[in-house]
Amino acid sequence: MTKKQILMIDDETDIQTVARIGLTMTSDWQVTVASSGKAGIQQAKRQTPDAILLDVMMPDMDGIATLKALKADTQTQGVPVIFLTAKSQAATRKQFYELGALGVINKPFDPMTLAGQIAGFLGW
Amino acid sequence: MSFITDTVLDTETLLNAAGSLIVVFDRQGKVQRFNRTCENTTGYTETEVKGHCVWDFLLTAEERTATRGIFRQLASGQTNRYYESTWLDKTGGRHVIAWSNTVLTNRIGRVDFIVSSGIEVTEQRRSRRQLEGQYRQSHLLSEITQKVRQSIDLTEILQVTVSEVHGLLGCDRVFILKAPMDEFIQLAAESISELPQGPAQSLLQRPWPDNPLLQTGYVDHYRRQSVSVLDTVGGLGAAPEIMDILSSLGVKTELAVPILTAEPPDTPETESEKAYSEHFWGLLIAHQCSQSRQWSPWEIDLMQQLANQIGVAINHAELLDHLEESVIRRTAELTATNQQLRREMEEHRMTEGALRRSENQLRLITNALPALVAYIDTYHRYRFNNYAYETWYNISYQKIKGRQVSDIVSMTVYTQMLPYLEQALMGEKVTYEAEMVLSSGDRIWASVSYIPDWQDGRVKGLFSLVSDISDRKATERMKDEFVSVVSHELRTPLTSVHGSLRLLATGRLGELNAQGQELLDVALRNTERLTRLLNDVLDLERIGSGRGRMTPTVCNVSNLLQSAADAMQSMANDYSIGLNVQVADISTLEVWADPDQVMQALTNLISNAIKFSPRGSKVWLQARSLSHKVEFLVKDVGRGIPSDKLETIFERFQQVDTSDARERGGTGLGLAICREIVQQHQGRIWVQSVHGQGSRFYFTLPKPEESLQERAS
Repeated sequence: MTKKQILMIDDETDIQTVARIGLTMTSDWQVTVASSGKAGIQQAKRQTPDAILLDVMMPDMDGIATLKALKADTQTQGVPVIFLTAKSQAATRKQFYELGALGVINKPFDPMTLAGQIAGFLGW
Repeated sequence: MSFITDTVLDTETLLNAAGSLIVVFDRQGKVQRFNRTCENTTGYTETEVKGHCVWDFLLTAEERTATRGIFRQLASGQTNRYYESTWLDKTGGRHVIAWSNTVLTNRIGRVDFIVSSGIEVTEQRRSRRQLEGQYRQSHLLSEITQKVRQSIDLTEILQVTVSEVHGLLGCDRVFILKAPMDEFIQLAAESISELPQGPAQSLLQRPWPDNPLLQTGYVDHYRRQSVSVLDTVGGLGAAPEIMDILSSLGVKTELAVPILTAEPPDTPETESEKAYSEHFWGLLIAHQCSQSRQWSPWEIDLMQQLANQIGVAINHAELLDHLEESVIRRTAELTATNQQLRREMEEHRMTEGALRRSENQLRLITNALPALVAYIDTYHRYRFNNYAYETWYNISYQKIKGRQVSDIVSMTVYTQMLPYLEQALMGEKVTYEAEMVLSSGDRIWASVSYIPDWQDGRVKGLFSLVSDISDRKATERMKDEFVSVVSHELRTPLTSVHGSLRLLATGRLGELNAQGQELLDVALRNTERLTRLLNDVLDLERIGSGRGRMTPTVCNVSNLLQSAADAMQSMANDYSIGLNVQVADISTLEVWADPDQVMQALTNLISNAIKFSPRGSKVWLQARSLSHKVEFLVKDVGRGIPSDKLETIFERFQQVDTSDARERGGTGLGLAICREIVQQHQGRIWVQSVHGQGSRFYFTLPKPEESLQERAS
């Protein structure tokens, strides 16, 4: 069984670090990171991860635009996306789901339970 | 005919044929010739007078000196003097003669003879005097009449009358007595001849009762009479007492004329009914003291006419007095009325002035307001607009009055306004916010309020108040952005810090010694606290701004309770608290609410309950159905809340005991957030607690209306 591959797209490298360490501590998944929407899309096309953890607030191309782009691309449209966001209003959450996200995780998140939350959203 | 010629030429014959009186004097003044006319006139014959001077016997005493003077002048050569003299005839009769004189001089110019030629003008003089008298009479009459008409001074009129009459009659005394009934008789006016001694003394100097003329006895005699002429000498006349009085005063003849005035009846009705009776006012009396005298008819007539005039004058004077009184009274009345009128006008003016001032004030105030203030009637017409309408719509604000609202605002705006306008015109106060475009093209946010104008139980129109809230909106937008940015900006580093500490604290990345571990725990705890604080502050701000960020939907109550319990399970486990969710009878119970917010409220309450309960105890979650709402309950058996803090505990940063906060990790905002959430749902939140025995936190949420209607049908 191949290990699950998670791609994390977030412009904050510190958060990448925390998430990465947390995930690797609590699971056997492989974690890759990208620091921008554009880079993330390229990475996704190259890698075809099992899931993408996507930050919402990013400069240039924000999470929503990135998601739209991912969904528009045949190569990446099948990849499940979970949003990571500091905002937690119901209205925006509804919007995320409507765009095709499978889950929304709030920041600050607990790196020790992050894997569990992701698995929960994706039914792993 | 020579005989006639001879006869004519005879000097003597000529002299005696002449109709005029001819006298020839020598230079000494002795009569030389005295013609027949002279003889006829004087009764003296020529023979008797020849050689005598005329002034010895012909002239009156008063004229002697004057005539001698004239004669001397004539004698010295001054010719043709004309003069008049009075001759006395043999019987003592008087003749007035008008003389003209010439002189006859001798060869050396010395006057030898004086020839006087005269015409008797006695009759002429008498006629003239009579005429003069009549003239004077009528003149006097007209003068007095004029005075009566002009002058209102009765005293003056009376005095003038007696003076003039006195002069005209040439008698010794003329006076007027005023004799009112039952009052003192007064001497109203008097004119006397200038003889200080003698009988014609001034009666004015003799007061009553010394003055017999002022006795009633005297006057009463005349009351019934018309003209009275009394003569003491001849005994003509009257009662002996009167005669005695007159005699004692030295009066020879008296002429008394009553002065009558018209007495108006007490209550005059119509003009035609006014019957003036004659009223005896007093007497006009003329006395002749020096001698007895016959009053000529015209003199009596004059007196009567004057008495009439005096009567008229007195009437006028009395009338004038009455008039004056009336005028004064009427003037006073008019003045009072005028003052009253003026006062009323002043009041009216002041009221008007006050109204206008108040209107102006209203205009001033409303014109100074940046908001639009208007009055709209039931036909959607503007009846009042303030100045702000000019800046908003670029129309002269006075021109808007009377025009339809749809004419002034754009159709879009009118469509926007319409439902609210109609609602207000039905009597409901409405407020709404709308975006509007001004004439300048600027887009603004406006807060519009319509307040119905109730008059006599009907809505006559509405007051409209429109304020520009663009600033507020902009501020809100900025705050939203700020909250958004802050939440992201603060949470990002927090995530990193918290996450790192969390991973370190597991010990799986390397062991620290006990103290190290302790410090790590401290750091972790406080980042968690920081995170919670940040979350709570941002939540409170977001919820409390009341901008309808919540999206209510139909929520199943039991699901809500269960989800909340699930979310708090791990914490409950940490504190060894049992969560008891009672959903048995409420499987179909629903509320109309934002599920996330309800969750937040429930988790806050549960969190508090867990924190303040003793280990091993329970926390209960319940809900029950009420008429239009659902009542939620979170119950614990913890420390409870003192009664004086039951209300304040919902305030921000209020805790029962501040020491608790740090130990139990609370932020002090949890209950405030709960309250905001519940109030946003038009619900109520409260607590029942007994200090030391536990607390029961209640809150209500509305039921969905559709389901209510369904159940109703």
